[in-house]
Amino acid sequence: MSKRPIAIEIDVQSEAGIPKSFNWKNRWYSVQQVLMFWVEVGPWWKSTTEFADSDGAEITWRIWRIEAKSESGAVIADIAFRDSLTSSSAYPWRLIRVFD
Amino acid sequence: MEFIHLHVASNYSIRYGANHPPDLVEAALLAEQPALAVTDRDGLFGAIKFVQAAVAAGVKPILGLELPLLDTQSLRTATPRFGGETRDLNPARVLILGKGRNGFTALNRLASATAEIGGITPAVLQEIIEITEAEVALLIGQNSDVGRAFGAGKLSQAAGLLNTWRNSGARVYGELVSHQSRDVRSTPNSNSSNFRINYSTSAAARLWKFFETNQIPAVLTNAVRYVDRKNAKTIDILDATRRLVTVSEKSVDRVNAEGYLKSADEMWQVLNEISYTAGCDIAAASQVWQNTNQLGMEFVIDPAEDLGIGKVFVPELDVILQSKPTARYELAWNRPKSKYRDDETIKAEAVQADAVLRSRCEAVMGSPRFSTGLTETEVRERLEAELSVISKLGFASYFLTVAEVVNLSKARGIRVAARGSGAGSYVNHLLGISALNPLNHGLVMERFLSPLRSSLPDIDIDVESHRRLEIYEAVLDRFGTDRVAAVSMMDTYRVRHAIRDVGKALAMPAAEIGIIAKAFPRVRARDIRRTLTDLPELAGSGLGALHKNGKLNHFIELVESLDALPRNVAMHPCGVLLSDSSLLDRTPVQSSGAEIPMSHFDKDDVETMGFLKLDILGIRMQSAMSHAVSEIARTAGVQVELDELDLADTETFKLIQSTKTLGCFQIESPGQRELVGKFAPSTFNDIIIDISLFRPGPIKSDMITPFLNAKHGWNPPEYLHPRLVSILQETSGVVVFHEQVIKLVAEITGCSLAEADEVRRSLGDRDKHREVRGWFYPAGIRNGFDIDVVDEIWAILRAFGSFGFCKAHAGAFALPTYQSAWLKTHYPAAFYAGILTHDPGMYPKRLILQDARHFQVPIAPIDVNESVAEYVVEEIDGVLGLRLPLSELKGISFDEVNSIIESAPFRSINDLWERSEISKTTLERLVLVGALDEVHGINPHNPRAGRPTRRDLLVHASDLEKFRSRKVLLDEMLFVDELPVQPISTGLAELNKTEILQAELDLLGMDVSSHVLESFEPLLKILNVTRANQLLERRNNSEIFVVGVKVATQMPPIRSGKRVIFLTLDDSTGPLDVAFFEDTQGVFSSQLFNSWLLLVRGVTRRTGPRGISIRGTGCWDLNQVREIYEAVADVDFHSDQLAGIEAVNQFIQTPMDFAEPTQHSRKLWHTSPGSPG
Repeated sequence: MSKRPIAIEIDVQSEAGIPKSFNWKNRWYSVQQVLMFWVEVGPWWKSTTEFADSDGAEITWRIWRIEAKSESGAVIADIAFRDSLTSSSAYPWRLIRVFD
Repeated sequence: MEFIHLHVASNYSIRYGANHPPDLVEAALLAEQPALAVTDRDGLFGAIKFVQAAVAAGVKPILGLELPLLDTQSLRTATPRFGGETRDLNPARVLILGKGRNGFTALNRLASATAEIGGITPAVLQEIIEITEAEVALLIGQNSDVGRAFGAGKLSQAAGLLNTWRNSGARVYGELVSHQSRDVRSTPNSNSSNFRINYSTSAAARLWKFFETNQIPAVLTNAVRYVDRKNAKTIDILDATRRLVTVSEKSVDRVNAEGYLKSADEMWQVLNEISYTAGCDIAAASQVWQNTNQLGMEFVIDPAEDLGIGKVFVPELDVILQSKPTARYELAWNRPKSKYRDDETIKAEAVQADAVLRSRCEAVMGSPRFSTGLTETEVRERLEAELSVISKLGFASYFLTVAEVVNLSKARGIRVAARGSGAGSYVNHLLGISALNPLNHGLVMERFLSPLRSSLPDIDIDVESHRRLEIYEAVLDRFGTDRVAAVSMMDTYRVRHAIRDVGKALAMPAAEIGIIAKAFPRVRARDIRRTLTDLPELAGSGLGALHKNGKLNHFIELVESLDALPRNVAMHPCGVLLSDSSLLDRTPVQSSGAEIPMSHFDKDDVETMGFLKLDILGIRMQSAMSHAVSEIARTAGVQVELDELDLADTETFKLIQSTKTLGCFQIESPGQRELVGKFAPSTFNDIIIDISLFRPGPIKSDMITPFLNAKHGWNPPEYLHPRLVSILQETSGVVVFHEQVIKLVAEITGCSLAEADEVRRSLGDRDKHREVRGWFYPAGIRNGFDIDVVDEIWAILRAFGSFGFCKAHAGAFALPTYQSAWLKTHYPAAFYAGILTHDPGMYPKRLILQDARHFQVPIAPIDVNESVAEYVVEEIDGVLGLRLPLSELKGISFDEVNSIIESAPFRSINDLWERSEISKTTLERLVLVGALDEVHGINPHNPRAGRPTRRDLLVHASDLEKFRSRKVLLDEMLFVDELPVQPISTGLAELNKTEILQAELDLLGMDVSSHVLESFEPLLKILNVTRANQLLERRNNSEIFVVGVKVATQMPPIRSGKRVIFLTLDDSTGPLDVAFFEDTQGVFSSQLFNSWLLLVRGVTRRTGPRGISIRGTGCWDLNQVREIYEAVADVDFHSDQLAGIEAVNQFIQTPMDFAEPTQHSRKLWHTSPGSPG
């Protein structure tokens, strides 16, 4: 099992903030199970722009490790929701890691 | 849904918590949480402020502590590193909550134990629970020894540790925390300092299971360190600062920003996740929720019942009255709990104390010392009024305690003087606390003690500065460590420290951080933005440019976030608290470095907690006067009682009116000397008025001119109404004192003085003016005053109410002012001995020395056989003069001084070298300043053939040194060698006048044998310079030149924002004051600040019969002027004078940019921001 950090913007359908299905490489995956959930922030002291909003507010990432299925098979993936106190994004969801 | 946070660190968890207690309370209030705990690390530094904020907001307070466990294996706690800074070693911790009064006592003892032994153990907790009979809740979480062992997979060890806690007698709970972080398992061998907390949901779930297995009920907390997500970065800086490292993944505790004060909904969500992960059902989760809230509600603190807020705790009467010392104990944490004194006991004791107080007052009031100008009935009425207020408030023991402290000091021969409003109380006067008789000066008690305020009044006492700690010792001896502690003080972040710590945390180069930090004035950290844009020198700098471009935003935000956070706890410079024996049950104490243990509470907390707080201020003037009095006793055999002087001595007032008041308390500054010159005080009351007028408020609003006009009869005084004459007469119709405001309000409205004082206090707050006005007008009119009069009085009150000064306070200051002036008048030599030994004033010693010469007090140089450690009075050529002390010699050590004094007299330099333990450098310096002249018959001003000179002695000194280094060798060889023979004349020339003067300036910092300007005299004559003693002869508005040694520069803040530099010069005939306004500063400021001998051009302005001021229009380095003159002309030959004057004129008219001022090594003048005027 290899880790592939990717971090791309993806479309996600969610219910009460929890991802139910997502689209990756033009294919829809449906979430079968949440394996883990955690919350992270980036090391703000390393870059003031990457881990913070334009006004300096720290960005929180809510991360789900999920087992998902599509027609072509099952994957385990970490998908993350960008949670900012001060700004919202048109694409708040990211696919950050796929295990296959 | 309600939730109570039980684990919350405020910023009083030093360098750990990010938010002030009121912010936490506000957040809890907004989240509709019924109660809130603050559980700071290591101490209760913020406990009282938290409880007050909570009560004010209607949130129920809960108190607890998060305490480090004593690591019994390594016994390591915080260790100093990097020059005394301590590094957090990340010990395991437990959380303890206290219930009720006993629980609060237990918390105090636990905090004391942490300070005294470095942490707690189950055994310590058990002992404290037994001593205090307290109910405490112990929360065992991930960061506890149990949690750490469990996290490392050591299950049986964890269970074992849990059992020892269970046996401690505390109610044990398991603490569940999830910050929803990623689950990272710690390794089994992780030790304290690299232990990483794992606030993941899974870790919480595992721990919950463990608690269930061990039958420990669980509670939910959020281990809060910041109110809001946006404050989270602050704790990264604090983590790095606490660990003395830069911010990195390794240094920060958090991985996200979930450790904030979450709402009940958010906490329920967290609990659900834990419970889901643990596989528990909803009932189990609800049980945890309920446990948490129940525990919280049960442990709510009642400020009155549990903390004793609202009551007064002063030493027990029998302790005050017994005169034997009380025991002192090493450790506070395990002292037996005090017996609780119920209200009945306290009441009975108060009655007894009232009687003691009354009898003490009545015993002395008849004696002539306390005589007043009033009738016996009036005096009796005043005493009864004061005693009745004291009795009503139950404060008799308080007065008796303060009197005892004052007596303890006096018994040790230490001068004590009350300062502040306490001087308004007749009881204070009779008890010997205040030397001033308030009845003779129209001082009212209500300004000090009011039946309308039930908090203990402040009595501040001034003592001799160099003996202040002796008084601490005496108080400690007398009342014991069970009743006495020093008050603490939080050192908080301001802009410079904040910049330094943020800079360090962000790994900026140290040199850069230093430059940036120093570029800022000492303002609050939160003012950094404003300072960057408003301060011209910063706005124009590179830093200002970065700020303008927004490049500093991030840095600035971090600096701002540290604003006012506590950095260190320190001992308050003068606050001491006294209590009954419940002290150690009501405050934690810790070692302060000095002998005296220190409370965790600051001055406000101490007042809230009802402790007796005494401010014992060290005042150098008191030391100086004490030395003067003992010199008078030693030399004249007269015992001067300064506190019993006749306050109407004509000679003393003549001196004050002459404005030759250098060295006198409060009236020596240039501005004060000018005011004294215009005012010409002729009574003690005048001095009180003078001190009250010389303050920023009255100066800014120009109260002085109308006062002087009326006082000198140039304008008739305005009293507004006949009924107000008696109140305003003493200040010629101008409202100067708080006491007058109080009396005015009472007279106009007919209210009591106590009520009037409440009105006076409200006048300080503009928001209350409308309310006061609404009461004042109808009351005044009802009381028979015309609306016009009421109107006018109101206008005065509104304008001046806040500027007025407390007359009692000014009176307390006026006493040492008068006393010092009296000493200067009648015993000038002793006065100067005191002033020069303790250096209380603003002027350099060389000016005081010069002043002494003006008062015909001759100065004798250091002499190894005559000089001691202090300035002493000595008869010189039939007059009383001063002998310079050995301690003035540059570089001489305390031990060297003592060894010379102990072995004196000496017959020769050899004798001195042999019998005292001094270094070669000190010996040489003694020779240079003439300390051996007398011994060897040297007279440098009149050298005689065949006699050795100082130069001969210097050569000899170096022979002696060689002998000493050889002697070690010779001793070993059992030879006896002799010292080199006595110094002889070798024909070496004596030091000349300039060399002697230079030696004195270098080694003593003052010109002793002659005035610096002496060698300039011929030049000064040629240049037609006006001397200080001729100044009054000059006409108004004429251009003059003056010269002098720079004594002081002051730059007081001026209302217009323009800088004025006040320069004081000494030209050997007296002091000269020159003001430089902004237009001249640019060109001349370099000379002004860097040269020490100055030629100044100025324009005169007459301000009164004895007042003349100089506005500076130019200034030059006098040494340079001399060089220029001497390059063309020889001072001694009159022929070249004209050419010389021409050269000097040319120099003066040339722009200044080439002028390089001559520097001087030792500090000969004084620089300060100064006070206005």
